[in-house]
Formats: sequence, structure tokens, C-alpha cells
Amino acid sequence: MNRDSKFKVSRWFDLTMCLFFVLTTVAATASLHAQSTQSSSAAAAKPSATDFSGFWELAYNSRHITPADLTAAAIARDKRMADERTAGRVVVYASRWCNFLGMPFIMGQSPPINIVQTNDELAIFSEQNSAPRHIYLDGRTHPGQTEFIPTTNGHSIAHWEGDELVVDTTNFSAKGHPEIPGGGFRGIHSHLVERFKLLDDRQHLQITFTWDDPTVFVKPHTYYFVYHKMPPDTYAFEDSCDAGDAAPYEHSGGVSDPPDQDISK
Amino acid sequence: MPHDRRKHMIRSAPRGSASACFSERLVLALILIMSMLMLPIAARAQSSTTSSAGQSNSETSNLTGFWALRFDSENIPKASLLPGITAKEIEAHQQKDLHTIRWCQYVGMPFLMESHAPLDILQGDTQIVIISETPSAVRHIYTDRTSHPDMTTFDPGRNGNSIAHWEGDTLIVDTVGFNDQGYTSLPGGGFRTPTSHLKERYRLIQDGKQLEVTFTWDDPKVFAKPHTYSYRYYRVPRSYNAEEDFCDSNDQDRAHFLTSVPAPVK
Repeated sequence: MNRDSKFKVSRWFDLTMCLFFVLTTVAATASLHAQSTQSSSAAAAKPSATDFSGFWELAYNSRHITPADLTAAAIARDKRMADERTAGRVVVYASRWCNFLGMPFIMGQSPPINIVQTNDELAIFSEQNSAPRHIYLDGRTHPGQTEFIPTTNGHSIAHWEGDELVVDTTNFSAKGHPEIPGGGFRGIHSHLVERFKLLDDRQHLQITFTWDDPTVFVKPHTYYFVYHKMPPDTYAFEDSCDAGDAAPYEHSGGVSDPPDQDISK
Repeated sequence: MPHDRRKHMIRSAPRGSASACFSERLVLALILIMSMLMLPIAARAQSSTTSSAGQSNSETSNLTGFWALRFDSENIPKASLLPGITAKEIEAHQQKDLHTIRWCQYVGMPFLMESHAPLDILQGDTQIVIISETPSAVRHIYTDRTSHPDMTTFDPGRNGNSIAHWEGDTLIVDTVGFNDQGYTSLPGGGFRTPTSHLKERYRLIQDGKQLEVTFTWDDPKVFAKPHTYSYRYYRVPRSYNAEEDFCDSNDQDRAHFLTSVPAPVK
């Protein structure tokens, strides 16, 4: 092989190596990118980038509540409850007997709520005596009345409208602490729609509640709370309620025998 | 180095002997091939590092889902208790457990993990929560912190304070800060106390269809040696709707059922 032939072979080899190097680099980059995409697929699968996870606390100016427009039956019920209070009775049966308090009471108290969000579900925990809220994000529908025993928190499904989460809840029971801010009460006919929205660079969470129930409200009753984000090292406390101890009753201001039946219904 | 000299060196390099040049290129080719082979391994290593830091996105370590115990789910050996633990003390704990159930108190650990209804586990970015339908507070297992709060100021609870980290595909949970309230008896013997220390290992098995949880309780006031037992939970279809175990401590019929001695069948 003369010098020119060797040089040509050498050039071809150089070109081949150069092409090989480029392909290797491209393949490697693609491999890393694919790996990265795969590992973050759980997050990417979220229908929205909005993540409400964290501890959220109400402040003195957080509750924006207007009076509800109640039906005559609901007004009569509220008057009966007021009369009971005037008579010195503790009207919140659920608090006396350590029942689950349920919605909407658990969303409006001073201890923080804790939200944990995954692709399929958003759960809300209260430090009050209550079951957690399960809000399903996986596109399911509400179960039929024969498939689900009504609960104090109801059955919640949600969908995204931009960065807002719209939560729809039915299948409520009348048990627990059913009073609704602004007037009225939760019952088996109640329907709640909530809109979750982050504000101020995720430092605040606004939840707008709209209750509807033809037996309680003349028109849908809307109010909203603005929660403040708590520090990342916040941890949850545990509620403790012992109905066998007289303390909860005395603490709640009882001056006569505790109620032996739920008079809120 | 002067620019001209550098140009000269670059230009003159390929002009060496043909065999030496070929050897150099062969070495270069081998290095490139080796690099290509090593890259996926490096990528996997990078992924593992992410997992061990406390977060894991891979399918093999996502515990999210509904999980239920079955008839064949429990492997519970008998605990080795300290000789000083008397039958009277065990009976006192059992009576307290009955009081917890009778009065609808939160049951706490480890009873909530034995729920007949499915557990709902949600794996978030900073914590994993375990929700039981049995009346109880939710278990918050923090994956974003490496130490427990100062126990001199921590308010102890039935579930204690839990922190966790990943070791490969296994979640290691460490819990302290318990109180002696709720349902305190442990499977296999013994009971939870303020000095209890629980370590748990969570691992998906059977291609993610089952979740194996191994519990090891240690307590210098209860056990002669750490007490270990294991559960295997079965994955429940994601379409399951969690229910609410509503409990009314003023339900007199329920109270009578729980506290009376059943009459013999005639």
C-alpha cells in the first residue's frame, strides 16, 4: 500500500470513528433522557402541575363567610338548636361521644390540615377526631347509593380546570358535626363543590365551598377559606378523645346531663 | 504554547507510522465502545442514588395503593418477654384495649395495621401516609427528614413519630415517641409503651401484587430480645372506595355487646 492509499484508509477510518463517536454520544444522551423521563413519569402523569401537598393553617382573617339563605325547615331546626343551647345543653352530640366530626367542621379549625397528593388521590387529614378525606383524581364516578354507606366526609371525586382542582362530594351522612359555616347543616341530600387554588407563589391555598341541598338552602351557599402554608418541617399531632372520661363534656361547657341522643337531626 | 507550534503538532500527529496510528485508533475505538456500554450502568447508578436519598420514583418502590390482609397474611412468632412481665400486667393491658374499643378511641399502632378493611397508602414527595378505616389517626411517615423531633418537647402519640429512608427498593421506617394510650397489645405478645422503638421494612414482592411489611419492636421494659413478625398485604383494585368506620360510644346496644358475657347456646 503506497502512502496515498494508506492516507485514504486512514481518512475513512477517521470519518468512521467520528461518525461512531457522534452516534454514541447521541445514543447515550437519548438513553439518559429516556431514563430521566421514565423516572419522572409519575410526576409527568399528573394532569396538572399543581400540587397541594403540605400543612395548611387558617389565620384569624382566613374565613370569608356570608349568611346562608335557609329554607323554613332549616330555620326551624336552627332555632330548636339555639333553644337547646339556651337551656344549657351541649348540643354537639358528636363532640361529647367522640364521634367522627366530618365535613365541613374539619376544614375550619385552628390546627392545620395536612394534604398529601398522588396521581390518583388527594387525601386531607385533620387533627380533629375525624376520618380522613379521600378525594379521588383518577376519573372515577360517585358510587351508587347501594354501593357506598354514607359517611361524615361523603364520597369525593375531582377534576382539573387549569390549575384549579374542582372537588365534587355526595353520599354524606347526617352524623358527626354537621353544622355549616354561615348557617345550615350537612345531611343525606347535601352536595358540596369545592375549588382548590394556590395563591401568592404557593404560599396560600384558597378553597371555595359551595353547598347545595334543597331541604336546607333556598339557593347554593358559598364561602371561602384562605389557608397559610406552614414550614416544611411541620409534623402532625394526634387528637385524643375519650368519651369514657367526663373531661370532653365539661370542657365543652356542659352544665346539665350530656345528651343521650343526637338532637342535631 | 505558540499557536503555530500547536498547529504543527496537530497536523503532524497523523503522520506517524501507519501501524502505530492504527493501534492508537483501535484503543480509541475500544474506549468508545466501553463508554457506550458503561453509560446505561451509570444512568442506573444515578437512579439508585436518587432512591437512596429518600425519594424513589421507580415502579418497584411506589407503595401507593389499597392493601388488604388475607387469611394467610400473618407470620407472627411468640415474643420473648422479660421475666418481670406478669400475667396480671398483660391482663391490665387487655382491659385497657377493651376500654379503647368500647369508647371509640383511636387504636393506634400496631393495631391499625391489622385492619380488616384495606389500608390506603399514599406515597407523596415528602411523606408516606397510611390510612386505616379503623378509628385511628393517620400514620405520617416522613421521608424528607433524617431525625426525630426532640423527644423532650414532642407530644407522644399512639402512632409515635415516624421517619423513613430507602435502601434500594426497601423502605426502612423508624418510629419512636409512642404513648401508652389506645390499643397497646402487640401481635405475638407484649405491648407498646413510651419506651418502645419500632423498625419496619416495606417491600413490594410478587411483581408489585403484594406488600411485605416486617415489624421489629424493641423495648427494654418489655422484651428480652427484639420481637419481629411479618405481614403480607394483597393489592386491592385501585377502584376501591375507602369507607368510614363510624363509631358511637353512646350506642348502648354496642356497649352491652362488647362488655357482657355471652349466654351459652342451649
